[in-house]
Amino acid sequence: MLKKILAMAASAVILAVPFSVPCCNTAPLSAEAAYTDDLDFGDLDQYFVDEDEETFDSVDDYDPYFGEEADHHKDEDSKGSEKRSPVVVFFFCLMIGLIIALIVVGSMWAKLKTVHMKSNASDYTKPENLVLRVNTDTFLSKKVDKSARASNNN
Amino acid sequence: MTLHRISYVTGDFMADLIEYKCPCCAGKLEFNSGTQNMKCPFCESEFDVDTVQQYNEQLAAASGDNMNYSSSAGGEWTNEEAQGMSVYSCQSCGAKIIADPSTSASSCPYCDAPIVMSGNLSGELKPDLVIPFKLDKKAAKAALSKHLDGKRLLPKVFREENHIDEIKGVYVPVWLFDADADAHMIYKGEKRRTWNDSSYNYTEISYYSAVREGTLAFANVPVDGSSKMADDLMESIEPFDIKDAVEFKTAYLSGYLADRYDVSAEDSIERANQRIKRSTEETFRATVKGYTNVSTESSNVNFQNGKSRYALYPVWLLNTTWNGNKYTFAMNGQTGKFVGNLPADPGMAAKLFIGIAAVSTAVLFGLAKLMGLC
Repeated sequence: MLKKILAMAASAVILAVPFSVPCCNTAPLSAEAAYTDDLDFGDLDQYFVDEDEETFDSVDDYDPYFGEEADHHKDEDSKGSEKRSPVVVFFFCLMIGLIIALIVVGSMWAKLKTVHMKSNASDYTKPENLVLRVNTDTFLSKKVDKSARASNNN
Repeated sequence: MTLHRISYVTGDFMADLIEYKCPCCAGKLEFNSGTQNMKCPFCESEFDVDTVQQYNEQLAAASGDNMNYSSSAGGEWTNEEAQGMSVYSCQSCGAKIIADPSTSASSCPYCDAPIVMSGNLSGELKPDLVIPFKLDKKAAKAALSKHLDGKRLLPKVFREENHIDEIKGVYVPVWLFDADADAHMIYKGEKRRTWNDSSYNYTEISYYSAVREGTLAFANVPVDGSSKMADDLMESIEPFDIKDAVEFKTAYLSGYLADRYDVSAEDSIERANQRIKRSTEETFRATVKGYTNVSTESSNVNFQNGKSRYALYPVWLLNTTWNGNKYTFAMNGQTGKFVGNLPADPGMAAKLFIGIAAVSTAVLFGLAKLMGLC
């Protein structure tokens, strides 16, 4: 059971890692989202006075930095969506696919082995059976090592 | 810290040279007259003389393990009991199987070879205890089917060919060991603390000696008393609940086979000691808390009130052969725990590997395309 959970967790991590960073970069960031990110929601009422007006117009009217912010995010979007060669992506996917297959088949193979020697006799005692007569911790010595920090002039 | 006492006999007197090793680096400690402490010339750690002396005495007091049992296991068969039982011998593996006259025994439960009646029980020990079978053959068959289910790498032929009806109920002989493990353990504990200022990183390591002394009681640690029954198989179906054990009576053997011990209690002690000592060390080690690192400096386990008993444990056994290899399955006749290694089909494994790899790759590549990564 534990092996199964580990295998599933490992598969999930392997699947998640390659896509997590690009996902963040490539997710379209709407103008509204950009706007609300920089503002306190408690102050929204004072900006949106007329409900009949289009939201985007009113945002532009009230936020003098909106245009710059939007341009900045557009630059980030173009960097994140940079395309890679399909061969490289396929090779990467193949590697992950092989690892997933190895984990799954390895876990199936392990399930066939159920015979193992017991390493201890913990089934035949209980923690409350332990009676400690001596339980002492004595300080012996102390040692301090110091190493120079790497200089950070930048 | 480890003490090495070196004795030299010179003429009429004996001179003792006591060498103290540094707990940090195992270098030889020297007395530092400036600080009046014991100092390590290699790592420059310093130790208080009294602390070193006390530690010295503790280590010197630690002696070797003493694990002895007073064995009075097994009783004697009465004439009536001995005459009422039949003993069969396996022509192949040499197992001696006991059965009551009403039980038809024709094949060996360990190797499936034919068995023949060979004599009576004279000279053998009578078991002290027996745990009667709680689960019947039907339950054993169901457990076997469940054991084979969901094993995708199991060859189909193996599943079809295994002889489920040949499953046999066998009382396996075991030696049960009771002991109070009296342990004296010395651990070395390290506590690390790190900090820094504008110029340096600091690491402070504090060394402690943790002494634990006490007793841990064990009851009914079983060791397989049959050389024909694989030890790992028998240990894999543990634990058995001794609360269900009753005084041995031949009536419990009716309908089942019983193996006779061929490994003596004396020969089984070592295995019991290994398991008890390991558990004792683990339990005592768990009491040493709050350190970054802990290592065992000295371990000394003595057994008190050690005694052994002879018992019969209920096991359902099935032997089957596939591709020239023998496969044995065992089920705990009391709890239903079922074990047995199964063969793997390499062809099926290769097919599954390729299939899973292909599907995973296709799905991942498709996702990458959809996300515009390529």
